Amino acid sequence: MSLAATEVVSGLIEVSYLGPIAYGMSLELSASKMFDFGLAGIFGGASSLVYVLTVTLGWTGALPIIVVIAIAGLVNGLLYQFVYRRMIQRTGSTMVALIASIGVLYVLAYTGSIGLNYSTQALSVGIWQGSMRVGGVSVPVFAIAAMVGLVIIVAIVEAVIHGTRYGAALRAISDNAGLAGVLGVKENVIVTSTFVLGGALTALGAYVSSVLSEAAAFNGEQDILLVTLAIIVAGMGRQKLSILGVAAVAVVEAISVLWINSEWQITVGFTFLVLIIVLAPRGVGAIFQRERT
Amino acid sequence: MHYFIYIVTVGVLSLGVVFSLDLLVGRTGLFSMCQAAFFGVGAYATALLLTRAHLNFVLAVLIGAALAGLVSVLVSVPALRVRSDYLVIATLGLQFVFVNVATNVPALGGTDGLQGLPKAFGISGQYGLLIEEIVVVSIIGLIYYLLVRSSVGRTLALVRLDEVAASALGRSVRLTKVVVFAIAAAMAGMVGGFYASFLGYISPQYFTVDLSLTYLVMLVVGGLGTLWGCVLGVAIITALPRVLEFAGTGPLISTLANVIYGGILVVVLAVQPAGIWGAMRGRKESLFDV
Repeated sequence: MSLAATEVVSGLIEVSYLGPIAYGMSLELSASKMFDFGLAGIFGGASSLVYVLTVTLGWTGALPIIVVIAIAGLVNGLLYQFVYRRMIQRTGSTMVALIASIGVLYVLAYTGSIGLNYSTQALSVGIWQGSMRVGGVSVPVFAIAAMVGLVIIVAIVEAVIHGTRYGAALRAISDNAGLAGVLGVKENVIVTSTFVLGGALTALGAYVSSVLSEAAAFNGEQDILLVTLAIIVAGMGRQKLSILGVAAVAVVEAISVLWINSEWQITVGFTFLVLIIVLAPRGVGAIFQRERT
Repeated sequence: MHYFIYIVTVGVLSLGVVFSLDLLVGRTGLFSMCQAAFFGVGAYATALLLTRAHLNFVLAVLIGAALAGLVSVLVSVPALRVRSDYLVIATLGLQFVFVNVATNVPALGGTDGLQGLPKAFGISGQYGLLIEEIVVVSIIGLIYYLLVRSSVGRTLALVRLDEVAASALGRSVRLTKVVVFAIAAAMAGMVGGFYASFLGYISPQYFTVDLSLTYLVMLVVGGLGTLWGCVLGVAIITALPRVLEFAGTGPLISTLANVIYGGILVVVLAVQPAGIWGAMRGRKESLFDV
């Protein structure tokens, strides 16, 4: 029982750094209809940059993470504006842009690995380093702080999406980009802003991951598949559910260790992905929504 | 073995896999991120059949190719039910699973892989092996050429250009995609069998997602949907790490090569989507442009 509880908690801790990525990627997806695998590169690049700024250059306080978040948001916004958007416009499909985003993943992750001296590196956060007992299970204080931060960020973004003209424009583009354009919504600006936010949230996730485990350039590669799986589970365009999707996938993956060797987690996760694609390609969220309506 | 001959032989084998990838990406418009996994399935199956079952080499390679085709069906059937992006995601997942399985199944030798594999047809000299791989890849190239020139090729082009029109003309779009996916996987698997025999040993690190990306970069750089584009792309990308080596980049070579591969993929798709061969022929737009 206590082993199961520990695994559940370890799965939930993953939400503290995969949650922001899932929310950002889901936001981008609902606006652009494109799976942005470049976020895995942003993750690796941000991990490396935060390590270089804090450990190599000795920056302290919140400044390094603010700088990294700003750079990540800017880079991802520029990538959409000058790379992905043009490909989507030219081909009329998001597939070529998706392939290009895998190229971006490689450029950023491998460049990041140079900053991390080709290995994973520990990152310290001073006063946040301790852990506390929750229901008999030890939980890092930083993970709890990151979860609280994630809830606050999501609440703010959701308030913006549902209570402002910008949010109305974003929802209009998600529903029907062509019609929104005819009605005067500046699609390019709105979609670019979701990529800026997606990049920034991914950098935040990378920072949390670097503190909770280690700064690593290539963790994003498999994490992005997990996040994609969570988004498909939740159903595309359901940002809040995507975080619950991450929680579900991470907990299932963590609990599976009780029955299956941890080395098989990738295979378990992928099998789950294929099952979801077969049984509920529009996501589990869509099933519940259909039942409600 | 002389290093240069070794590199050329590996490049020739890569061309076989790139032909198979072009059948998918260039001719049918299906992106696969796990061609290295199919290549690996063929390599491992051939290696096991040669060392454990002591089968005849040709039979082992053919079974390996068939197995790669079968594995592709397991992924393509569910993934092709929905939007095409899911195929990329599913194939990327399969790529990770393949390495995961190859690393953790004891019968596949774990991280050490399988060693002591016999040479195909008893050929062991470096020039003999090079000629053998040129002959094998020429046969793969011929299959590719005949397929794209036949009514099958026209069906593939129709599916790529307009699925609705293909359906209206009585073609089963989904079946066409699944079959071409299986053929491409079998072609890659067949080359994998010869690769295993050429090296004499295999391990999971030879079939990672990096290799799948490298094949895709070779194809995109050369030019999608053209035989000579495949040849040109393989030649350029095979030579690139050697150029970096010559430039004295030391331990940075593989990292820089991957940064450059990713960068080239983005830049070519953005600026010259028809690839270098397309540029030489005065084409700028890609097969996917609308």
